[in-house]
Amino acid sequence: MQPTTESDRDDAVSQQGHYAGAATRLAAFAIDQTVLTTAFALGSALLAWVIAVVTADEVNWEPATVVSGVAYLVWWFIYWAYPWSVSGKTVGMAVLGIRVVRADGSSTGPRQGTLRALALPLSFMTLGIGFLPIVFGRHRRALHDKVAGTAVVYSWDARGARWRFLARQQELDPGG
Amino acid sequence: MASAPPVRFLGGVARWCARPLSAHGAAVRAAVVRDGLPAARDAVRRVTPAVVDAVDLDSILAAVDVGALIDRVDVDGIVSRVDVEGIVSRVDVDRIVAQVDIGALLERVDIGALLDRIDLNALLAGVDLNALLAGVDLNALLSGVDLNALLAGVDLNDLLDGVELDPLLAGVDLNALLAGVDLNAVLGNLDLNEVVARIDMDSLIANTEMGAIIVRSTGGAASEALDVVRSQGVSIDTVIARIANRVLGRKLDDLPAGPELLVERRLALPVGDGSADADGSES
Repeated sequence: MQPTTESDRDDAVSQQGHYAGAATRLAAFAIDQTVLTTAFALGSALLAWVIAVVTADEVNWEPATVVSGVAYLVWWFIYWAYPWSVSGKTVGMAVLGIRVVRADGSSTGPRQGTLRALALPLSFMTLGIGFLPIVFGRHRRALHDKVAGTAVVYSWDARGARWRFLARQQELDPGG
Repeated sequence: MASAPPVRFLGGVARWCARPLSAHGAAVRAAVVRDGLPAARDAVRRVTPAVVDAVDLDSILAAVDVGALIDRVDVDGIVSRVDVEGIVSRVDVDRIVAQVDIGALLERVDIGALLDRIDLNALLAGVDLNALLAGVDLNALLSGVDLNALLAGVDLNDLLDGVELDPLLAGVDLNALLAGVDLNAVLGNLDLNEVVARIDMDSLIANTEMGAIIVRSTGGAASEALDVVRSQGVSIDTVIARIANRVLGRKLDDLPAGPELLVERRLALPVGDGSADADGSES
């Protein structure tokens, strides 16, 4: 993995608290989707295994596609709504150092988290047009952000990262 | 003897003989008064210009020794006979002064020339300033002075340039000075966030042991990997934003950077592992 340059870290430090961009949000979404799908699959497999163990293989649990689909949707909703309501960040967002906040910058609550999770499919159903404001909009708020009254900002400890980077540089090259 | 009858008879005869003569004399006197005076006046009137023209006043005056004349005048005697106090007491000074146009008078006075002729040094040398100032109520004097307006016109930089601070401060007992300072009150008004924001953390880390402490206290490779990913993400976002702004023809300065609560608030030292909420508390 290529080490970041100082200019990259300077950009990150200067943008802390600013609206997050499309690339970061897309990467976070990809990570979240991977995690939630993997978790659902593992959970389903675990459930099937538990049923098989408990019933001594007499019951082969193969739920109908509709039931699986509904369960997936429920899990999907919980995966997004709960973290957004509590801390404003999902697993992917925590990895990429972004979080959901209210439009004025204050922390989200259950209302914002729930609305955002319910409105997220709208951005997909508009053939992706709902995501275009992230790139071209003034506040980088997608359709589901506007419905829920939220925004996504950079929230990682960029300054501390810079100091860690400088500290390691100094350790490697004390005379630098 | 004079009252003897023959004498009285002779006197009467003389008076009777002189009666026509005295009548004639009276007529002559009347004629002189009636006709002579105007003629005399006319003669004088005609003669006087010629006499005056003929008289050389300059030579007459030149012949007059004015100095000797004045020397002979006893000025002291004259002045001593003048009741100055009586004259002065009768003078209504207020009325005289009221009639004086002081403004016009002063306009005609060349104050510059007047002051040039005054030797202020000699004048002030004779003034007992201590006695003079002893009678001055400085508090009342200073209470009417607008110090702010006075100081506004003072160039403090020029003033301080002429002050040698080292000898001045050498005489200051700093311990006594600081003993009177309420440090708690000073610190209470201190905005620590502002102070910390001014710290050059990069230099601090590069030049102190703090860098080594940070390295030992952090998670190592995992945190560095995350830092790399996040930094790269921010860089890519920046590039995309620049392209979008160029396509739309708008300037970055015209766009809001972030929510008002996050962008306007000054960011202090990082809290914990970066999981702080927007209001600074850890989630």
